[in-house]
Amino acid sequence: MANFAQKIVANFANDNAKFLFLSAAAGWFLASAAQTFGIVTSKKIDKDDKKFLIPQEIADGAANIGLYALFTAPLMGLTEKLIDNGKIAFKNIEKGTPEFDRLKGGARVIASIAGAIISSNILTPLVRNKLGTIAQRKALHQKIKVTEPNYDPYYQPLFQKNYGKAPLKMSSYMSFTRNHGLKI
Amino acid sequence: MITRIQSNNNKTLNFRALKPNSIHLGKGAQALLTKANNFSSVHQRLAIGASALLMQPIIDMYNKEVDKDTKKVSAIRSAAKAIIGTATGLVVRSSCMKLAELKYAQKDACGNIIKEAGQIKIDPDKVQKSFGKGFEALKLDDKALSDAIKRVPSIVGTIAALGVMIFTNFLLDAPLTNMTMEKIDEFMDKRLKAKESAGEQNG
Repeated sequence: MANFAQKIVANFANDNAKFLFLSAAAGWFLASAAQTFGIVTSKKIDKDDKKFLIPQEIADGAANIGLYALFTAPLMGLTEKLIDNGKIAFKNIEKGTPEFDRLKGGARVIASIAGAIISSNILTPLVRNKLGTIAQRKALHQKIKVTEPNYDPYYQPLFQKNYGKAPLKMSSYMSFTRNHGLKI
Repeated sequence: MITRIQSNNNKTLNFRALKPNSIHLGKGAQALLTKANNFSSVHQRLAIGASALLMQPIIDMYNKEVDKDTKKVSAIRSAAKAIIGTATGLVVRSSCMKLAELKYAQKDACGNIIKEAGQIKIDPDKVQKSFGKGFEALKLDDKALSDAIKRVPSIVGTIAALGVMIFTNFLLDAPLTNMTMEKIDEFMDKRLKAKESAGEQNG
């Protein structure tokens, strides 16, 4: 276990870009869990706003980490590839020297931060707003379904709407007409 | 594909040469990349947090899928999250990194911490004592090893900060975000009312 921890720390210390990439993902996961908890427990946020904000927060967390990984990891790989094949070169620095490796490491760090900014601050808000809206609509739809009154032949003459849910009986129908003073 | 063509004055035009094959980064860019190689999670959090505050509320305000009130709540929440998330993230990360730096600091004979250009000097022996086996396995050259050793307090501090943030996220971030959200909302309402009353007076 101690050896494993030593290897992990040494590897991260040697590859700063990889460490920053992974630590940002871990930080976002924790932050998203906390923010969702905050909305759920807040008494000051309106119920209707919660209906949007809770799914928005969950969608935000999932989209944030997912998009971050999908966008940033390839961007870091591409940066490395462009440097390795010479498309991006450093003036007066030979390939394979410690200075070259240091600059390549720096470029990967920049790529990881740029990827994080683009994915979490542009792509995620766009996706989460879309996902949050879909989730909100679904929640509202379910709410309507739950609060919809059961078929009551005395007060609800819309038989067609509930057709199939409750059988229409002549006795119920007659009771309804008598109750509302209808003449047929 | 034609890449070369003979011109009237018998000179060969090389079209491929017009297209740059590679980008050569100069001294300025190299200095930035050298610095970036030693960026810590504090730099990263600051860059992401500042850009989040600038971009996310604008994107929320232009969300066509929701009504005006939800747009407002959503944008205010994004701003509050960016402010509080960045502030607590920076405080927790930099505090944990400072503690890690103190743990691995080089001390003189009197036990005072040695500083170099205002920064705490890291004792390579102390780091090697804790993580020597890990570095041995990597087989780094002297320069790379020296760089990696200097980064150890930042790595250890960030990992510790992630552990601390499990608690601060719930105990600080969430309530402070809600509080900030209310403050921003109050501030915006006050400004709106002030504008309206100014408009009435002018009218």
